Amino acid sequence: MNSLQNRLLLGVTSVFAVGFLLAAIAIYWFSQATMYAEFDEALFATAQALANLTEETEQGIEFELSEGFEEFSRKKTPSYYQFWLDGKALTRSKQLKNGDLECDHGTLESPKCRAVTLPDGRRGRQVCMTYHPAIDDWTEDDDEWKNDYTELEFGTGNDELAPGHPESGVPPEYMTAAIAPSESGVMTLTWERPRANVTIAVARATSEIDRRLSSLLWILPSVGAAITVLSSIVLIAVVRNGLKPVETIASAITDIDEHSLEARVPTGRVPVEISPIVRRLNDLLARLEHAFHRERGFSSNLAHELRTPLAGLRATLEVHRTQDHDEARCERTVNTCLDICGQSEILVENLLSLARVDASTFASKREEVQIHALFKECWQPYAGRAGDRNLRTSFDVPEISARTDRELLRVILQNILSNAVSHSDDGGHIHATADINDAELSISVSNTGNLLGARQAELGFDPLWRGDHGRSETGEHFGLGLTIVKRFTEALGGRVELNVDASFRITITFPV
Amino acid sequence: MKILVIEDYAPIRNAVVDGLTAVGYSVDESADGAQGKWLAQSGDYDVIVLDLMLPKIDGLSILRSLREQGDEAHILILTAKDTVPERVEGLDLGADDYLAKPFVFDELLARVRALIRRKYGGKSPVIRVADLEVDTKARRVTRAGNSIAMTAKEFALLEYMAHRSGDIVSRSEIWEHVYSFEADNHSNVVDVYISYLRKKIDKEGMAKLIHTRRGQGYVLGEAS
Repeated sequence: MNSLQNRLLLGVTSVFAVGFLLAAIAIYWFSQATMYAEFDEALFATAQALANLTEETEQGIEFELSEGFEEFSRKKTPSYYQFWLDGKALTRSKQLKNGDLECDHGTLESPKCRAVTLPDGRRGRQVCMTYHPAIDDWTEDDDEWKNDYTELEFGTGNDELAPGHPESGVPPEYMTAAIAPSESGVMTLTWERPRANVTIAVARATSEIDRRLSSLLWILPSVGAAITVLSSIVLIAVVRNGLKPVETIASAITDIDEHSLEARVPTGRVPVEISPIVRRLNDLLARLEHAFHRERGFSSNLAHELRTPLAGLRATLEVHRTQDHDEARCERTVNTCLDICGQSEILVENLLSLARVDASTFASKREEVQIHALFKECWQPYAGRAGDRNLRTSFDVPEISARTDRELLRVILQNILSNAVSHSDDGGHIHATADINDAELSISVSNTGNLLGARQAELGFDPLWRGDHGRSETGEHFGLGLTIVKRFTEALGGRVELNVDASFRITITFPV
Repeated sequence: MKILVIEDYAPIRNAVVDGLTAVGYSVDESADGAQGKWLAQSGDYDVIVLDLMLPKIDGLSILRSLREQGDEAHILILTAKDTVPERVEGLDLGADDYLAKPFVFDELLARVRALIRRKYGGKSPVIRVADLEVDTKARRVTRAGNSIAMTAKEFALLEYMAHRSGDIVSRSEIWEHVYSFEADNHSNVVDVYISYLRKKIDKEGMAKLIHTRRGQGYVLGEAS
């Protein structure tokens, strides 16, 4: 799935659906637990009420179950109760007939509540607890032992008062309830007379709760599904609206082609999440524009450099053909054509050299080269011109040898020295140095009279770029010198640095 | 006809100047934009052959400047830059024609002739004045069907007067349009060449076509 919109929709809708499902389960479970808790609470209250209506008498357990418990006597959908005394069934509700409830033995503090199937088959819940019925004060005897409890104070260490001790007078079945010493050493004993353990179970149908829970079982999924569908519809609109900036950007990009690279994607009102992408895109467009501009410039410059000599050749020969052919004129025409051919040859050779160095199959040939001798050899053709322009020279090139490609280095030095002589001011100064450091040879040539800024100097590495936009002196300068120096130096594994101010200094450094 | 060639590449400039001079045009030349602009502004040239890539001031700047000053000289751009946008830019700035390098010299010549005709309102390369025919393309003159031999300078003078037939052409105008900038300014030369033309065109028994307007100049045409 490649659509961002579909991914968002599916993801969010799934989360919504799962969320609603979990919420529905939680709501159902919570509702069920609450309802059952309330039901059990009511059931427990009923059990307590019934328990309060029982008494322990001298004759046994008596029940005063008369009014107020219509639920146990109705014939349709009755509730049930049953009593046990010490585990033996004691009495039961009328509608229970011969059936029995489960005796679970909970306590007053912690009654046992659970789901049950009622004798008539209905689903219900039952609460069960064991308690001591209230004792009916049936004795007319003030014998204190007959009471629920009695307290005696006695001195410490007097175990004669333990239940069962003949002298304590306390019947053995009485339990010591508490022994509480006081500060004076007087002990207070409290006995409890043994009590009857009556267990009561009350069971009631959960029809109403079950009905409500059933309703919840279809209401919750229905509502959840409806909300999921509705939220999906809203989400579609929200996502579409949210993705509009992406569409706007895509539309802006579509309008940009190689003829309109100056255009930029608008950055105003772009969401912060997308703005880094837009910025990077605009940066890329700027680089593309610059590259296309350089490419167009190169094509235009190449057209000029190739066509101009051809035009000169053609015009010279055509005009010559229409005129009288005296020997001097013929000589001039031939010389002009040969000069043009020579210039074109240099241009073609330079372009071919660049192509060869750029080819993946190029491999330099290394040999021991005497740097001083090579430098002197390269300077020789330019010495005359330097003299004509009254240029001063200072060359600090020691007698060092280096292992490198002689021919590449020759071309590099010739171009550097040619540029220095051509672009120095009249009467200016050309300075050259060379040294070896850390297995790297550095050769530096500087000339005064520089007219280029740092940015323009860097552009000089672009093929056919010239500071003179009119491209005068066609055939003498092509704008390839610095390009050749850079590419050839890189072919030697080196680098070129420029320092530009009032002087122009170029330094080539490469491993030897 | 007076032509200015502004081109910095010497082989092209020399060839064009030589070729145009050989066919009788008066040609001035310049190797850079600054001098070229000065010459164009100070002279009354029939055609300016203008390169675009020039040192000091580029060709388009010169073109723009001349048109802004209202200069009506016919300008032919000669350049190695010949993409459509560059042609459109040059023509929109006011150039009258555009020729890409390398070019055939005969084509350059034909375009110069066309621009000259355009300047003087003619459509045909053959100018007729009464029974005199001046074929500017073939560089041939006939009268009443008879061919008349002429030197290049005589033809250039006759061509100029033929383009301006019926108009009074002053000596200074003849001088500006027929002779080069470097030539010495002697009005006597004009008179001498006019007399040469009269001898060849207005022969005995033929109606005179070259008339003198005392104090004003000369007129080529039938007697009014």
